Amino acid sequence: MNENLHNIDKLFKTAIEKLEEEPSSKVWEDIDKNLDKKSVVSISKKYHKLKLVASFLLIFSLGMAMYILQLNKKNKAQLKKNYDQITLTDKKGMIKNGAEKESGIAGNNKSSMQNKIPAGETIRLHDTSGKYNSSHLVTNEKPNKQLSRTLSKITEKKETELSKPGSESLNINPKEKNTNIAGTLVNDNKVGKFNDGKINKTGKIISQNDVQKLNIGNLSESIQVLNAHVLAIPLSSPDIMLSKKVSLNTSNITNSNSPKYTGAKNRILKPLHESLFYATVFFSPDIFGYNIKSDQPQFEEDTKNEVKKNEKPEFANSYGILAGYKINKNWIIQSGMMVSNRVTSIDSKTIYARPDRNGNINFRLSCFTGPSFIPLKSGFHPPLGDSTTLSAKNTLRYINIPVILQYRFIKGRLSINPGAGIATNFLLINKIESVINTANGQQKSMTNTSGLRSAYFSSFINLNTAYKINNRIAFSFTPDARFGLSSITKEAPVKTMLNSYGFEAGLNVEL
Amino acid sequence: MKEEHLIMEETKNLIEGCLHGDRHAQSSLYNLLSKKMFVVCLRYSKTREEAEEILQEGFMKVFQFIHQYKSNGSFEGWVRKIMMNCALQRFRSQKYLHAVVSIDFVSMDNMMNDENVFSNIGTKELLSMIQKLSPAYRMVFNLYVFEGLKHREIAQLLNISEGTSKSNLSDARSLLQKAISNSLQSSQNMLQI
Repeated sequence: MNENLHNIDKLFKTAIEKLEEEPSSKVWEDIDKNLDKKSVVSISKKYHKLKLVASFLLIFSLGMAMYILQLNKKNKAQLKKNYDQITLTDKKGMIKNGAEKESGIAGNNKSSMQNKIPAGETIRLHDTSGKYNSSHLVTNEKPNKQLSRTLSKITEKKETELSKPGSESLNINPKEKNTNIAGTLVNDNKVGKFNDGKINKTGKIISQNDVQKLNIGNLSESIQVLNAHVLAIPLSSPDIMLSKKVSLNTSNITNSNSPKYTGAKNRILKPLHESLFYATVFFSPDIFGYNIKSDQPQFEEDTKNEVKKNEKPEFANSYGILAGYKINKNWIIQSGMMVSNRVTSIDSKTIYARPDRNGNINFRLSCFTGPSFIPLKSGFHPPLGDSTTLSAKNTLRYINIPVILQYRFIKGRLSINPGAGIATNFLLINKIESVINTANGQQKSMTNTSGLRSAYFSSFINLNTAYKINNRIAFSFTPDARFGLSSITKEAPVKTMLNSYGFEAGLNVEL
Repeated sequence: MKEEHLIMEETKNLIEGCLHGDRHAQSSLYNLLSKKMFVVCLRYSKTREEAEEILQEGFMKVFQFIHQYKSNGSFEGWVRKIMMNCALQRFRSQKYLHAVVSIDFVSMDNMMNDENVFSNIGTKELLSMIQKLSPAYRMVFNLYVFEGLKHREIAQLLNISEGTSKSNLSDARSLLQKAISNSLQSSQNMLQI
């Protein structure tokens, strides 16, 4: 029995191993169709590394943005905390205004700020932002000899400078500014009068709110002025730091001449919120076209006019996300990732059988993206020079990485930002879906173009208009123009430059 | 010998073409191997349609991974292995859909009725007999007899015990023997009439 069983093995093996059977033709047709799809997909796989790098850059940028956002939040919280601790509007505070590029803040012992400072010590407030040309001395004034020496040093200075946010600085020249300060004080309090800013003796000025001390420039002795003047000291920048890690935030600084400085009650020290980073999400219907230079026509159908014949841009759009960084008040740099689609239709175009790179004869379509060979499903090769007609749809998809520099014009909630930049565009997909007329009827196939560059460069000009709907979100509309700087084709009979006009609509979100 | 060398040269050229994505070369390679490979697929399948699906899937893998083929081995053997793996994959995915077939319940009627006009048992009938085995028996029989695998290897591939593999092979042989004897008997009856 066992022997018989082993014989069965041999019988089957010898009989079937030599057998051949023809599968149905449908099998090859299906394989052919799937290979078409694979060849299209293979383009995207080809640039896998590039996509990985682009993704890494995007993730890194987002990570950095998130980190800076967190840091900003932390700083703001710290500022708020410090601000609460140091109550500049404390009615009993005493503030000294120092000499050249120095302004001092001093209060009496009841001041919450001064409570933080050991008696007799002076803390210098530094403006680390560079926006203000001043630093500030906060003194816990105690009637002792050391203080007297400090005051006498201050009085040797000729000038006191105070500055306010922005380019305009507030200079307190003893000759001029003291007059103003004093004038205000006098008007408010009807106590004394300063002539030509020269103060030769101690003058006590009682404010309607409170009394504080201010040492100014060439005053030989201290005088008492309004809290309001003290608050005019520019402590607005979030970057102003106390040497003892104390930060102040008082963006709303105005000139001491301003009538606002008549009392501490009117102070608004709330900072204006504006983040350095923002993100824009957009969609843009595009109009696109191309310039063709007939470079090395191999055949008559490769000439510029023949290529353009019956080709029509049909559909184009772009969408993506951009991150913006505010370099300063007026300049923004933007970058991110966009996807652009360009679809062209080709109508009843005559194509010819030509040899491909391997010497095989196949029908060849010459279009703006370069030549494309369309194999017949049957595996049959047409005779050289044979012609037929074809209709096709040519799809191009790119990933664009732009870098754009914008200048901001702000008016209220509206900002108009003209910008320019360059973009690197990586080919993601190119597919040609065609319907070819053969002797056996119509044949559908999908192929791609040989001779497309993996990447090309383009320039960018745009005019962004953004309207803030709240502190964080703004509507954005950006007409733009993109011009090809390099050709999208290589080793192809034609050189093609892609151009397009877009109308981006989106949302800006402050990070 | 000379003919064999020519075939090898032709195959090499076709492989080169396939590596460049030349559709003509792909088509030629398919034409060269599809008949032999289809029989391999038929051995592993119950129906012709199923075999065609395995063949299609197998050739797609051949074209996709042709760059992984090392020229030192037989190309046909490499393609055959791909076909076998595709069949195995299909078997694994459908494993739990098949009803457990006991040898006692296998009907011999079908075997006797199919193509019983042969005077002798033809190769196609033999192939048909394999196809009529239950998937598990068919798989073990194919792997043992045609691919030359050991029971240990079959057990690993099919995730069964060695004992099950041996038992399945024995059952498959018995069924095939019965089928053959029935077929021979049927042919003799036809001759007597």
